Amino acid sequence: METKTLGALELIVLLAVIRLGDDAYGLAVRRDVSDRTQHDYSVGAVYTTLERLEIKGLISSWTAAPTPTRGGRSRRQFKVTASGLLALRDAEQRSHSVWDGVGISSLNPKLA
Amino acid sequence: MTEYRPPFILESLLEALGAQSTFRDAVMGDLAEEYAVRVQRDGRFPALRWYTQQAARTAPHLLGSWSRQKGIVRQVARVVSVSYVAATIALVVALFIVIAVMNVAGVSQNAVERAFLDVHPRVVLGVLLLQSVSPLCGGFIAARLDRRSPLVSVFTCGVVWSVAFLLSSAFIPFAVKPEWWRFATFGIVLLGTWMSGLVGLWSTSSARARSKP
Repeated sequence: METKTLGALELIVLLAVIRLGDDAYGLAVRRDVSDRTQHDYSVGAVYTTLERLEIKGLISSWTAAPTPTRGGRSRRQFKVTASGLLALRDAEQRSHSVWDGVGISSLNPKLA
Repeated sequence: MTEYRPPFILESLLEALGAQSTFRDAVMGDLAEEYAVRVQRDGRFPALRWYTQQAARTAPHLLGSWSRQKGIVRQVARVVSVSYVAATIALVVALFIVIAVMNVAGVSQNAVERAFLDVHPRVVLGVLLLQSVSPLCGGFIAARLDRRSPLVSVFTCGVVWSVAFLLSSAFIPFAVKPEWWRFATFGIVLLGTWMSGLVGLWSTSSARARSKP
């Protein structure tokens, strides 16, 4: 099976979906991503990324029952697919390969 | 939970961008949920500020979702065309009314033509008001006609008509005389269409909100 390459935000969002498990919906993903990256992503940006991941077949989604807190709108839940897991594994291997030979000690700015 | 509902106008504007229903419901539901949390935690004003910022940053994504739908360009073109015809009819009717009033008042046609050529301030004001009839009518019609993406249609109507008026004013002899006339017309048509479109949008959204159980 051919693995899909991931953009930076796609990778972060996909990891958040795995981390959140059954509670993976837009708002929770946005909170997780914003907390970890220290960057305030908009709700729209997170959903655009989630939709792109779904089009790539890396996640699947379904709608939960509407709630009054959401103005009677449904919550959209997400789950990582087998292709998504493969893409993550591939991304991790690439990351290791890219970082190979560069230790944390060699990242001291004073040595530059 | 009614007291924690996001501002109606902002919600209506976001909805009027015409994003795909699953995308729109998920995004706007999340915004409403977070808004309710923030009202309870931080108070109404900070929550409103957060919602406004998020709405502004999310609008391009909703527009992106709108643009990915099939047949959307054809739909907007249809709404703009129908509104244009309706607005032109409104302008012609308004023109007939003005002529009829002038006839009743006993104003001769030569006097009116002279006034145009001399650009009498009252005549200028009258014609500008007359020109505002069509956008005021057309923007409202466009907002009511397009149920999927009224805001996009109203925006397109404003741009298309104002450019059309600007180009056509070159062929109207009395409008050419003062150069600023064209730009005044351009502004009136653009702002008139958008403002009347927003009124139309507001009336549609209010009716929809009232019909909800």
